[in-house]
Amino acid sequence: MIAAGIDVGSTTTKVVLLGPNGMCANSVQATGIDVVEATDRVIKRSLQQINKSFEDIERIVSTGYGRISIPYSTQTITEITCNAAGVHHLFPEATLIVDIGGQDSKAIKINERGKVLQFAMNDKCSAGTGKFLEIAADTLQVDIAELGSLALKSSNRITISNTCTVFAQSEIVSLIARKTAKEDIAAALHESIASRILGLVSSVNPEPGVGIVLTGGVAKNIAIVQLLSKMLGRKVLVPDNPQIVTALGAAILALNQ
Amino acid sequence: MLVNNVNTVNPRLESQKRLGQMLADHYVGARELANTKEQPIAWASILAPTEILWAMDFYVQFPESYAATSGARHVARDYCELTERNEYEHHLCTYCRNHLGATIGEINGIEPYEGLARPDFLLVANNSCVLITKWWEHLSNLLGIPMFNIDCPVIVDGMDEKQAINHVKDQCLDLIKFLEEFTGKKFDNDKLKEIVSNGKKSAEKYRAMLNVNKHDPAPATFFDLMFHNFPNLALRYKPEAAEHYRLMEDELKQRVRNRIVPMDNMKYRIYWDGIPYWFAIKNLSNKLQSLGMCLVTSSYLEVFSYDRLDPDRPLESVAENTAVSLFSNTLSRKAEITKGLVLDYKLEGGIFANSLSCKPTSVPMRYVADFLQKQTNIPIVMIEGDPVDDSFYDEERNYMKFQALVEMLEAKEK
Amino acid sequence: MDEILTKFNEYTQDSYQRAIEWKRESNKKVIGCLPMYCPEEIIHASGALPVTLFGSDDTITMGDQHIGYNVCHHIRSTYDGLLKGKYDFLDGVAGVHVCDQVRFFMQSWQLDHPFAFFHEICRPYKMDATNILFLISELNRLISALEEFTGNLIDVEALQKSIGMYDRSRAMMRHLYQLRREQPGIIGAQDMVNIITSSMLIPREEHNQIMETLLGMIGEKTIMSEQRHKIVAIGSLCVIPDREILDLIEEQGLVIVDDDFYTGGRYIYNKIDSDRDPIESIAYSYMNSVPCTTYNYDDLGKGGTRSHYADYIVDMVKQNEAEGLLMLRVPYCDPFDMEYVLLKNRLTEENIPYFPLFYEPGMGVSEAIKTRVAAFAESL
Repeated sequence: MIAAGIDVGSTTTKVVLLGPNGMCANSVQATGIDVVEATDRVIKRSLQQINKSFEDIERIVSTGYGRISIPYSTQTITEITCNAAGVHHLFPEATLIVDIGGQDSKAIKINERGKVLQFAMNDKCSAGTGKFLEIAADTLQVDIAELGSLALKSSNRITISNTCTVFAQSEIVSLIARKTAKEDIAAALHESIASRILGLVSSVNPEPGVGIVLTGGVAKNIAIVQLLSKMLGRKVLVPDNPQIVTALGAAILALNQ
Repeated sequence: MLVNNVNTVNPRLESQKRLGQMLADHYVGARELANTKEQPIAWASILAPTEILWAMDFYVQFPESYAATSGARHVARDYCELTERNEYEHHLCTYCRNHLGATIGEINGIEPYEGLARPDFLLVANNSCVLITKWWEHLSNLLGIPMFNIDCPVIVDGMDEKQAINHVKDQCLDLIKFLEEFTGKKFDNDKLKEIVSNGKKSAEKYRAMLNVNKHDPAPATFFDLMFHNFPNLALRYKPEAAEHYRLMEDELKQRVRNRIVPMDNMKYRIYWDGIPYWFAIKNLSNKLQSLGMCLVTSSYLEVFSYDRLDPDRPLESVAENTAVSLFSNTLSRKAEITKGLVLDYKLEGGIFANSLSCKPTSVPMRYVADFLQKQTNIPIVMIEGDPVDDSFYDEERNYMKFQALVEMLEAKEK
Repeated sequence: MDEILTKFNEYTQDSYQRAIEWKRESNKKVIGCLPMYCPEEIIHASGALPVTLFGSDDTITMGDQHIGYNVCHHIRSTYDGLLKGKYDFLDGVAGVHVCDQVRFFMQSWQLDHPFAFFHEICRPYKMDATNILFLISELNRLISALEEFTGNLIDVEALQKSIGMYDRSRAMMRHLYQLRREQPGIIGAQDMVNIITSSMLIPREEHNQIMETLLGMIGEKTIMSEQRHKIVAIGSLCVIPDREILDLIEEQGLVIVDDDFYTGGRYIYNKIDSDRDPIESIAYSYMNSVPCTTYNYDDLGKGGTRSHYADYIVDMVKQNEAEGLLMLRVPYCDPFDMEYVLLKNRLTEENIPYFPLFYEPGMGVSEAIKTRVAAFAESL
């Protein structure tokens, strides 16, 4: 029996397929403007990996901002609950999650059974999200995948005063014009993101000393991981494939239906 | 808690019709008076000592109440926008900007802006907030008529409640003195006593009506009940208000007896905090119903309780009613009252509706939500929006949070 | 004189350094005062040091989530600082309810992070014969609370002494303002703000001493006649106006000759009448204070209110023979934003050029701000 979890985000769509032996396939693709088309594409890619067809999928849970647009899902569940289920599966001891996605960030507190107790989101502002890094990488003319390691090379601490993504862009440009080292700019941008996360975490009243599990695309960025650990004073665990954790959780919930 | 199939679903309350008529009569009555000038008209804030105005034969309208109507009619965004063109900032209280916009529009003959009937006097108490006194200043400035502010201190820890009440009473006496000069009439203490007596009955009946919703399953939702603050607010000086609530209490009790419920799929009893989003009630109701969430009560209903009125001490009890209210009290008291409601009504989850332009409710909201969660262990979500201006409202985001709440509730059951 | 100005700048930048030292040296208590209008004289009379809490330029990371982002910067920044332990050195906190946001902020603060001494002063928003009585009782309540907390008696003599000292301080600062009025540019806007601000951060005795020295030096100074356009600056209630922006303003062909900043004119133009009972004097100084957007004026019997604040500002511009008015506006300030509409109508009536310059404290000077200031200067 194959269960599918579909996480339709505003930037990327993720699919995880779960078979009798656990996760058997996954795929991540850009969402673009057509949510249904994107989902079809990503499911197809995933199925190709295990040489199965759509009819082999028995249950589908869709989640994420586009979840209600998927006509063939058997259930829609919010990304909060799905993320919690995914993290609990990978780290059964975890009680505190930070998810930094393309357009929003979340802090989620869960109990020992992986159930959501409390959550907080920053939804009004993209400053603490993947979008911020995307724009930064673009402005610095650096590959987004290299941005983290670039930041780690910094030896000179500066601050980016603008917390707004839009204004930060012009600030970066003027810093470059003033011959500021790119790595220093990158480090400052990462610090800016990490510091936005602090408020989110504290607002879910976490137990002191407890570590966090970091999920979402931005978790692949080593500078963010290091900074968060330092600034929160907590251990930060990152799953092997942090971007698909929510989709994995959706698939697990599909399986347990 | 699940509803078995013995219940009948009827979302309509008979009392709604009666309320609609009272509202219409109230607005029409004001418009007529603006022409005939038989009675002077005043605009008052919701927690002002309005009894004093009624005792001096003023016909009183309530600009804050007007916000709810404008929101429901979907004209509020236009009214608010007009103020933005006049350089009122977007973050400023939308109740204020909605009404100022309507008033400015009407004064300048901009179709189809329509405000409340032109008043002769403005009364405000700053017990709900301070911004409202600025709102009234702008109205006074625009309309060229006098305003009077009753300054209500917050009854903080260490302050004697009696002192605050006496201070408000002193200002009420100043108000009476001014009004006697302004109207050329002597203040009638007997009339005040009668008005306060009617007000007390109305307040008692309001409370009795609200209490019926403690029943499980609730005979009505919070969204059904909330409009019915109007008689207590605007009409408690006459017997019709108490009568309305008496009939409504009967109606709710009958629904309980006959197992009539306001919605199907009544799975969870939910607490609502904050000012309702007047323009989105229908959509919110539908969404909540699809998720099985029944809004049972809210501290919003407490604001209109006016429960200190006492005809044995007319002026003093009016002053007390003004001085001691949910808003002019400490945050910790508000948090305790909220907790009391959740326990009393046996509620399972909470929706905290943040209104970004209302600083008095939004600044402390997180504290109250946190307090409630820690004290009662119920899951809570916070949504964002505004009572009247839909530019603050992200429907998708809020619906997602409703769903997350249901998922937390379901998880609790397992 | 540069040394003195540098000292004032240091005190302002490193806001609590001196207070923390003083506490260690004297072993007495420090009480944080939220702006505006906290009666420092009374706190001083109890033997404690009143220190005004202004929030800072640090990036707000925690404040937004806990208190909301639709709230003024001063509150978000102060709450942020609170969560980060910045105010751990304080023994107590006091503040006046000047607006809705501060009032609920104070209540949240005390519940989330209780202090041994936490005092909310319910100053009436409307000042008349009835309300002044309540204010007097509030001031007495503060006195009782302080006496209990410090163990010191606050008698008439102690109050008179403190009032005298703070009044002397404000008189000296007013004198400085007069010198600037007569010779615009004799002291830069940023320095002026540093002087007033630091008075609220260090022991007033020390500040008075430095001020005396400064006035001695500056009295002898004359400068070349000023070519820049004279303007009045207002706004930034409860925050320290961004000093980089003040520098920018004065580099772009403008010179500030008077202001209504809380760290400025608003603070120094209030006098305390020493002829009466000290508590009454303090209360009446509130009643007769310069018009403020955080007060309510109902102007009974005069057929409609007018903005007293607008009258005050228009007068200020005229008396200083200023060519225009620059408003350093911080977002989300309810009192100022409401008053602004009435103010701008008056300014238009009086043909006074004005510009509302919005800025976010801590953001410094951006291209956008530079352009706006330059454009305003060019328009004069």
